[in-house]
Amino acid sequence: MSDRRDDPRLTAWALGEREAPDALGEEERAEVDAIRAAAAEVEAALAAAPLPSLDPAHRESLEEAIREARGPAPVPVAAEPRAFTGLWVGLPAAAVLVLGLAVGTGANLDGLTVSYPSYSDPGLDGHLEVRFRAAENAEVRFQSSSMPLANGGAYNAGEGKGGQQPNSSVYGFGGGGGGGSHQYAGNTGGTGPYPSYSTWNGTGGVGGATGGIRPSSAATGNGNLFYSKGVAGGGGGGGGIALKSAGEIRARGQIIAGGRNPEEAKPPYYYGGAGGGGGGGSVGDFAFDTLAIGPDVHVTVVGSLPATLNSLRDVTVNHGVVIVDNTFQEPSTESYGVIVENAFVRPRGDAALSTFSIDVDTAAYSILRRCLMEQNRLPPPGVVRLEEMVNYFPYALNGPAGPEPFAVTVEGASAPWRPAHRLVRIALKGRIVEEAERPAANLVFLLDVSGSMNQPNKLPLVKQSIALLAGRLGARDRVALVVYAGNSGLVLPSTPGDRRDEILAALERLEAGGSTNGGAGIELAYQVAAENLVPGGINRVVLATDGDFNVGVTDQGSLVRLVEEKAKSKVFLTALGYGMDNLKDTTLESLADRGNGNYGYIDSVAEARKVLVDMGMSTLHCIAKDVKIQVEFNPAKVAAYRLLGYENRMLAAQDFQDDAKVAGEIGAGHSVTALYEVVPAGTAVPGAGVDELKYQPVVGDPGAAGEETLTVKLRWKEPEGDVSTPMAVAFADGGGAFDGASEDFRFAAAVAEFGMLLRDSEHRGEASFAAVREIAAGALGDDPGGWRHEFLGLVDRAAGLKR
Amino acid sequence: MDAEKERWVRGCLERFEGPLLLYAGRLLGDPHGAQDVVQEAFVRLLSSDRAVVAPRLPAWLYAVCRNLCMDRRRRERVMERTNAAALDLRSGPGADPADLAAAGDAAAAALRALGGLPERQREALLLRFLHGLSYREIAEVMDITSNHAGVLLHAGLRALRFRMGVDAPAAAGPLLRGAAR
Repeated sequence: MSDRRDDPRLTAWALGEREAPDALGEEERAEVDAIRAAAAEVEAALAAAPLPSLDPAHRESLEEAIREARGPAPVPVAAEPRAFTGLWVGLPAAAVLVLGLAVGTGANLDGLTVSYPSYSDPGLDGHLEVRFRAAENAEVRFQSSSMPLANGGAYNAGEGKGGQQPNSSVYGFGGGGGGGSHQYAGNTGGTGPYPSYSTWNGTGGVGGATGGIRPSSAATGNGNLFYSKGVAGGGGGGGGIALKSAGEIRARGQIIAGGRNPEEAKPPYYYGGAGGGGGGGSVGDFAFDTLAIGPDVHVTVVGSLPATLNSLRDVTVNHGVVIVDNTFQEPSTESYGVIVENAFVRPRGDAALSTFSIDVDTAAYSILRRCLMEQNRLPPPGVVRLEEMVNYFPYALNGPAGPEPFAVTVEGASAPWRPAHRLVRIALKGRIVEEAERPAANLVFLLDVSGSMNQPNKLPLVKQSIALLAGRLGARDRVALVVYAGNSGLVLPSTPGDRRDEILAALERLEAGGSTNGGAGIELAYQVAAENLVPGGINRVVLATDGDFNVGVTDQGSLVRLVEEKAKSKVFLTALGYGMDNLKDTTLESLADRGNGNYGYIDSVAEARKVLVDMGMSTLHCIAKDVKIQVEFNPAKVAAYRLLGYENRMLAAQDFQDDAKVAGEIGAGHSVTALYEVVPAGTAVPGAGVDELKYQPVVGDPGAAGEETLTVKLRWKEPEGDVSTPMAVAFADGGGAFDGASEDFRFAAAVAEFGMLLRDSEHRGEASFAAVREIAAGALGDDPGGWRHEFLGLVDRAAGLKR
Repeated sequence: MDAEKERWVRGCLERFEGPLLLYAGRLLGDPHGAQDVVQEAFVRLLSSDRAVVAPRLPAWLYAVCRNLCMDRRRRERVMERTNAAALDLRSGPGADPADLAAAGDAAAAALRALGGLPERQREALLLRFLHGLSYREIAEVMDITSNHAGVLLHAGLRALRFRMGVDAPAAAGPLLRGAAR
């Protein structure tokens, strides 16, 4: 049941790209008009910008190029001998190329085939991965035409250092060439030292990155290329490879070398300034020296191309088979925990109880979206937290009718990835509190202004986020800003929320610099919050950081204890993660958990709006805390069950009634969804090799309750309360088919299935990206924010990256 | 290069210099980088085969600029990782503060909303509404199909309408809707 408004033709009609049919319905006509109006508004807004022109220096360089082009064609400088070139021309179209082999070095090239079986999406900004396989001993050499090897731009096998372009003097100050070396590396291949780059000093060359070489078992190498630019030009970096003599080898080299081939290094243009010319030796993507590859050895080279595929034009392959492969994952300094998936559990004794704390964070989804859509790589499995993915999306749920802070909805249908199993969705919807009804807020923003925040997607975005939120505050609310870096300080004392100019001016003054000491800042922030405590109000410290607590109190345990202690004083914590580079995901999440708070990952203004504004103050206005769910399964109906996600939220059965155990909170209007995969009684339980138990107690006739599948029990505390309130909802699964389930159910199932695929879950059954896409596309619903549509894009990207 | 080709190149320069600088500046979030990119694009135009390129203008020039920008961004991303301190703080490719300052309220809301869109949708919208490219040309620049371009424009405009609506204080966000099942 797709929405008519999803039809892209509506826009094509509105923009006059296609002629609209005469017989347009009233609704369509209105939609077309609305699109046209929006288009006009955008067009008008964009038209305001003045047109720039080339500055004199660039203009002069261009004129020089034109003058030069008038003359006779320049004689190309001989580069490295190449077996043949032009191999990659027309690449996207080629399914399999069998090469003519009689060119070049005279090596025996018999049996070489080059194939590109799965370059499916040319929209991927030219990312291409290539794998070689040699039928017999082979020599393979790769280079990219846009950054060719210079003479002498040696890749020093085993050293990975650059700046040693022997012929550089010939080419002016030209930077040294990077060494696209492969370096011996330890057990995992690993990343070589990142070389520094030089902007000004003409010796430019930067070190090659490294790969890894390992004699046996799988090795992974990672090499990045660097470039330098500036007055004297600079050298390029090296690529990296990893290889071993048997088994599979993977390497990654990104084309980020900018050093130019000497023959191209003309003084004024390109990146070099007056003195310069790019150094030689910058190797393109796949900078490796001649490799001797034994029989049946795979070398996988993964690289992202600078531009189009045509850029990777010059490849020298003596013989080998080139196959597209794209399963490489870049190692990262971001630290994500490891997730051990929940297994199937038989509902016997205490095991009939599944207890967990609710979780309304959604950061994992934003992080994995960034990995997929911006970095073009699969997210590290540790970041794929199913519950956060499922809960990222808004669902249409009814709030509570009674006095409870939330309503519970339970729905069941067959599991799409394993139709013999049932999928049960338990959804909580928090009471909706109108903006006018919410209590006054006392917010203390604790902002990380350390040097690592000095990036466009960090501090500037933090400022925008707070400005967005500040726009929603009134005279009764209070805002303070505390910064921390080398020193901590109060940059805005607690100020009424309607004095927006003061707040914005304080934000404006913030600058990043120094190193981070999260500990001292947190103490100051809590102190300010306590001094301005609004009884019964929203009292909260909002921590905005990339999480890189790199000075002072770095011990995560003591930070967590501090936050936990302060939560008892009614001041809660919201942690907002910014940026990607060194986001310590687990640190923030555990801080927020212990601080009775929540955690969001913010990568764009839109995301800031979603987290902070669209939800009103609900992110900040807690309506129930320490919310725990305990689900009791009926062994007569359930052979086994498995909770999807919530791995780090599991509680022991006895914790459910223990009011001293802190658990998650729920904000006004929030919804929380949990999914269980249930193996119905009489169906084989996957992975359970245990015989039937003989001494299980036989209970008397349970009566009507015997038909129930499960009972959802909840406990929560009022935000200020210390004693929990219980509530229970029984559910009998009617055995409905998946297709008959609600749109929200089906969409949530698709998201969970996607997560299991990304995680390579052993429980993924028949899950496939195609199925995820089909289910999600059929369950887009109203989707006012476009989030579900966006999800489809993630699925497509992941499907392309993972085969 | 003969005189006629030079005239052609100069004609292209006159016509596209400004729009391409704007385009590259937005993609990079860096007007200085845009200068390099656009200059390089015209250097490539010099050595291009006019018979092939001329019928494909302006898409060819936009595509070359785009590729150069992507190349550059990829490099700079890695540089930032290693040497963040040495770089100027640049604004992202989203809403440009200078644009916002110049624009009126409604226009500013539209630009802000545009800045919040997924990158590819935003790009398609810019190519259409700032540069006036057709579906087919957008497809060529972004290296996608025309249909895909249509989908991006459609989804982008739709999300934009929603986001612009959200800017109005009365509108409720998706989680506050609480619609009945």
